[in-house]
Amino acid sequence: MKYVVLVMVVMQLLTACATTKEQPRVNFYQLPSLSGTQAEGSVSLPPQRLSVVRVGTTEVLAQTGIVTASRDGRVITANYHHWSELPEFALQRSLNSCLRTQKVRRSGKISLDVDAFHSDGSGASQFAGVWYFASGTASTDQQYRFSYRQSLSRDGYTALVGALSKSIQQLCEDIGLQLR
Amino acid sequence: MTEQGAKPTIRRRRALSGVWLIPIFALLVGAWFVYWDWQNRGFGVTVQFENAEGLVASKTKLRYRNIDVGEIEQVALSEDLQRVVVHLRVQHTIKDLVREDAQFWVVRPRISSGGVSGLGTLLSGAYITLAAGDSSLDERMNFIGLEEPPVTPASMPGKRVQLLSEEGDSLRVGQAVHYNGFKVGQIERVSFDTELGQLRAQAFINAPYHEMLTVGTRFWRTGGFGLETGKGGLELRTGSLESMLFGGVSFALPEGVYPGKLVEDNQSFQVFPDRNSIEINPYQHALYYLMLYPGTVRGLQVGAAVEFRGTRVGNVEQVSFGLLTEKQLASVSNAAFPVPILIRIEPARLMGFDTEEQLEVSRLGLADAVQQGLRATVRQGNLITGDHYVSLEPLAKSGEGEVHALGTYTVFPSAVSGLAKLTDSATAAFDKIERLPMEKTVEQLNASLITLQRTLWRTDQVMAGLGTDAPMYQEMQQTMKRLRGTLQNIDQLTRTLKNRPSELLFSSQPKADPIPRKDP
Repeated sequence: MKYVVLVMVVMQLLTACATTKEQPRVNFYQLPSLSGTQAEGSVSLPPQRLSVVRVGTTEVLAQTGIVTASRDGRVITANYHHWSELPEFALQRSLNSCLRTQKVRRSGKISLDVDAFHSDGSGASQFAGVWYFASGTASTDQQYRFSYRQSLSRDGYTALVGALSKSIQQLCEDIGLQLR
Repeated sequence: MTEQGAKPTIRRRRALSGVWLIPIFALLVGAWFVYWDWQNRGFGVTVQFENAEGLVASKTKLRYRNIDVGEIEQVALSEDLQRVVVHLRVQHTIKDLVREDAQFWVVRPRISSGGVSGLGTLLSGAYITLAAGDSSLDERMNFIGLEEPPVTPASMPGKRVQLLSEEGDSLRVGQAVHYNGFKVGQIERVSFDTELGQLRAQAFINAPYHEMLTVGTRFWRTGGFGLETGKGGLELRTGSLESMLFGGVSFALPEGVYPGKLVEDNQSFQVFPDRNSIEINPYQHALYYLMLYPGTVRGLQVGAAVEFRGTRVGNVEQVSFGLLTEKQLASVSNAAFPVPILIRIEPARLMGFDTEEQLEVSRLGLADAVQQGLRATVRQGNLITGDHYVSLEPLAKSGEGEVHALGTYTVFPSAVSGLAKLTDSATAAFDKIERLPMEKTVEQLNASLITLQRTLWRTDQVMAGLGTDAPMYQEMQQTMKRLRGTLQNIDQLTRTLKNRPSELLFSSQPKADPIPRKDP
């Protein structure tokens, strides 16, 4: 009798695991390249004068789920819409490729502390934080606060990713202006 | 019968007839003529010369400042037939010039190092001239004439000095004497002093520069140019153009030398070969002593210092067994086999007075100091170069020895100091170190250093790999971030299971994600 009960439990467990109910599809998003038009083939690049060496994020942004932070303080992490990599890696790569296109006189290292990189839940994206510049010769770093709000062009996560990408482009250009 | 007539009147006739006035007048006129002739004839002076070339009686004139003041009356040989005696008739107007120190010489064409002179006599013929004497002196009528014109007139204010030089061809008549490059005198006469075996030159220093001549003054030869190599590279020394072409002598008071009192006329000075010789050895008077040193003289060079309590008082002149004869060597040789060292002590270095008197005082003082225990010893001055010097130190007890003569030398007692013995021991130790296989050791050390250098380079590479810019560091950072993301997912799962434990077996349909909306 005891064996019969055990077999039935296992069968029930297997049945539960073998459910054929279809789960929602997970979508992955990647920030587009900001290095402008690229020619095909290998092209030599000038030495990079500015490079992003560190991107730090808040705890909630340190995962791949795309975040929505409403104005009432609620934070929702998407279950089916993910970044293809951690946002801090994506931000570092995207900014580095963009900064190559900026004509700047000074050279040095840039680091970011990102407070917001999400949807504000009311039709716009929010990208904010502080960036630091270290020339290597100056005794102290220079600090700049940034905050960009970009309205979504349409509904959906694809539009959110596009808006955040525009904000990154704006930050890149502002860095170029400050260090020109 | 005689007529006694009138008595005759006898008149006394005048003693002298008036006719005599004529011869008397003639006599007076004659006498006046004689006086006048005597007055214009002048006085006689005789001058002796070696020869009478160009001198003719009743023709050759005596001139002073190119004005005729006399004439040769007669030219004759002297009694010993060795010279020529010229009898001059000199006008009374220059009587005050013909004094004891007056000088006569014949002006004729001459070419010498001092220039060309007397060209005017090619047409007019030779004449005799004179340099006026001091009018305060007595008259003189017999002179020895100069064979060459005097370089300096006898009456010119200044001072004459005797210059002694060991180089016979270095000084000539007419050469200039300079002080700081300015001509202040000239050489008047050059001769060879057989007693001293040196060239003796008489130089005249014009007033007021003669007041710079003190016992501390030093003379040196100038002329041409000198090229010297030293620490600062090549150094070219030249004098004035005149001294470069014609040579000469200069004088100065060397730095650090006490000037002393003003010199008298005809004071003797040694002429040094160049200015450097004076700087190296600025004193004229020195005492020479012979040391018979019983220790080693390795590192003691000629010219090394002789010091007394750290102050240089002289230098080493010679270090050689050749200073003594075989007999003298045999008399002083003992078990220690002393090495003869000739030292020169210049008392003026300490006392300031470079005079014979001071030298004698110092000689007595040193003799007394030796009796009190002063000894000469050899010490090491420089550990790196190994140079040695002679030091005068109280190394003996009072009354143990004295200065004594050995041949022409005066022996200064010497002793080996304790420090010298210690130095010898140290030198022996250094010799042992020198014999060590340093080359092989250095090669091995070099190889070890190369290995160490490579190791350090590799360590540096490894350390660089751990820096914030290093790929390894970046990889670690990324891994840590990914780990943090994974932990967050686990944390989310934990929260879900905590709220709904059955979620593990009976999954519920998750809520749909909020769709970002376009700004209304």
